[in-house]
Amino acid sequence: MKTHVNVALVLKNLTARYPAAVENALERITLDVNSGELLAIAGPNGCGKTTLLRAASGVLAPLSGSAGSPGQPKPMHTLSPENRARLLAVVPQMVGLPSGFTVAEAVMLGRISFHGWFSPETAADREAVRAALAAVGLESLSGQSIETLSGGTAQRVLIARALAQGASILLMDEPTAHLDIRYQIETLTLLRRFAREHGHAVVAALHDLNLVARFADRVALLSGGRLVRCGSPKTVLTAEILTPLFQHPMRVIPHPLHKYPLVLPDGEEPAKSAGKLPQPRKKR
Amino acid sequence: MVFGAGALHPGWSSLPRVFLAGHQAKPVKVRRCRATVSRTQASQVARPHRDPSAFARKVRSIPIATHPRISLPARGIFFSRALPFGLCLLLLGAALVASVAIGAVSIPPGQLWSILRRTPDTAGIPPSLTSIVWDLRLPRSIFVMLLGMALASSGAAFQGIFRNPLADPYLLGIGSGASLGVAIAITIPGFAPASPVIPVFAFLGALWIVLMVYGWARPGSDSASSTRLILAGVAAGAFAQSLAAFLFYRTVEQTQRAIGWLMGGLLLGGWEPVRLSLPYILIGILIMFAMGRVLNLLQFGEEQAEQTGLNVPRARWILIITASMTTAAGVAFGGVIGFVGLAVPHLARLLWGSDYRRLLPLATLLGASVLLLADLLARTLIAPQQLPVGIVTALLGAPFFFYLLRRNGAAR
Repeated sequence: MKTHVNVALVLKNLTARYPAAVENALERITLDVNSGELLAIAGPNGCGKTTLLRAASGVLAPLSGSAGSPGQPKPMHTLSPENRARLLAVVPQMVGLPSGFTVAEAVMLGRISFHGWFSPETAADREAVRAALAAVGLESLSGQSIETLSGGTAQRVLIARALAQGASILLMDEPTAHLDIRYQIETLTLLRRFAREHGHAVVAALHDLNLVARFADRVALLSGGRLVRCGSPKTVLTAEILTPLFQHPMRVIPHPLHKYPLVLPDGEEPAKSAGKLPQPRKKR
Repeated sequence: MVFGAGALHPGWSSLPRVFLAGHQAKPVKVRRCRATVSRTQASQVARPHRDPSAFARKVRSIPIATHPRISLPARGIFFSRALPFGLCLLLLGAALVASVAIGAVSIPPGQLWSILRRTPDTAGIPPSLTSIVWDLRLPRSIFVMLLGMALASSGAAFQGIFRNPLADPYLLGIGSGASLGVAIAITIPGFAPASPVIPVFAFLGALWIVLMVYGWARPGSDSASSTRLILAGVAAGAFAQSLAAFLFYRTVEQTQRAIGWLMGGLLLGGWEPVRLSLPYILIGILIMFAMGRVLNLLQFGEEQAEQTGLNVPRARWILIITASMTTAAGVAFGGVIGFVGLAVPHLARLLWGSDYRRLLPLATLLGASVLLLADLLARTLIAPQQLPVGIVTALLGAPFFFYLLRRNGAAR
């Protein structure tokens, strides 16, 4: 396991556009993700969070720029799915799981790039599945069928499948959507632990800014496909930045007990004079 | 996302209700495992989220004997794995014997056995009976068995590829495409119906239709794609079948037989159909069996499958081409037989769950038995006349299809 800090994922001038769209969904995003950190991606709906994850994972080929890993000379979208899956794992938004599989079988599917299509699963695959299930605390449920699980447990199954891929980069699309507060905190605690203890680079698109403030090492704010700010929650989550970003008056106070910022929406009406979005420091 | 949580998925997941009932035994097994764990370990199991790594250490320290076995359902090996296969093989054996023994002339099992062992003269069996078994019944039964296998396995594969419970070779127009290929081959002068090019033409016709349907519908993850796919399949299938009928009518001398074949009758008797279609069907079925794991992964959606490390386009094309080849080889001599490819995989899924590694072989065996029994009905219902098998399967299969539609509607 990596202990020293080094860059795991490099996004360089990443620009992406959907086939039928007129405007770019992502506009020259440049961002490094380090091993051992939990980077949150936040921003209003439609700002490009999911697109950024799709482009970073290589399933969406960028218009220009690239997503890559320092150890891998080729950009992500040109790699074969097998090689990509061993480098980087994606946990999709939870939208219901197909029926008919046990938890262990669903997690074993994450090993397909190792044992191939036809050859049987090896002892190493079973060990990886066991370790992944243990890491998310689901080993006692390995024989349970996945359609009987609650949302939070199903989310952990998908995280375990991503872990079983053996990738050092984890991309999470809204890992806390549809979860209650307890499972939200549980899931993010788990993700932060993967970053801290195993040196994974974890990127999570999140809506709840208070969860971002509490768990993320750094946060990247997106707006209209552009990277507005990237930095520690304390420096980035301020009323001056968030109010124009969400077009709603925001108040940011320090948490009464802990140090992290607490974001509170102010007022009922959307801000008419929310002001202009502060320009990113690096223009161009 | 229609396949995720949207319109079709609830119905799709509601199908294996019988299967779910079987799963209810599982928590009991888990509890039994916990009972053998000490009190402190049990508290860790109850609150695994507190400290996953500590939990992992605890779980590893549990003795192997009480450890929940991974990737093995808790229902016990015989009930979950071996029993369905045993039942299906038994059913297939019984259907095969019945199919050979019963007909215009019924043959007692004892006589059948000695005929099959080729020792007829000792038992005083007339040579005509030997001829009936070896030249008529046995080849027909074996071909019908192969046809049932081909239709059920490719139907299950198509349902998995398209993640659509209503997909089957016939609905997607592939059966009709294969029959068009056969019609073209037969109208070319010099090609006998028993020519080895017939399955090749059937395959090309099927491939043409599948490419057309696929290019037309462009199934993605949007909610309308499965509807588009079925509509395109129905249209392409109707087109191909009409074209095939048109070509057959031009060659007058074979019209009677060809129309019967279009309705699901056998094109030829004797061992020729078995000999010509066996390699395609066998290879196709084996490839599909080997891709059960790939089909399982595809059930999570294409983007997820790709992000998990599956080359989705390659997997999809191999599966589509294999399933089309298997269907076409059967259709080439068996005609278009509807509903087997649709209903049998669903029946297997209802009974034994939707893990494709097991579903494919089980559906294949079940499909062979079902088609053998349907063929038996077709031969005996209005004896001495014979019905095309396709009529019987449609008569039996259509109500089942409506039942599936109703279930889907109720779940939505």
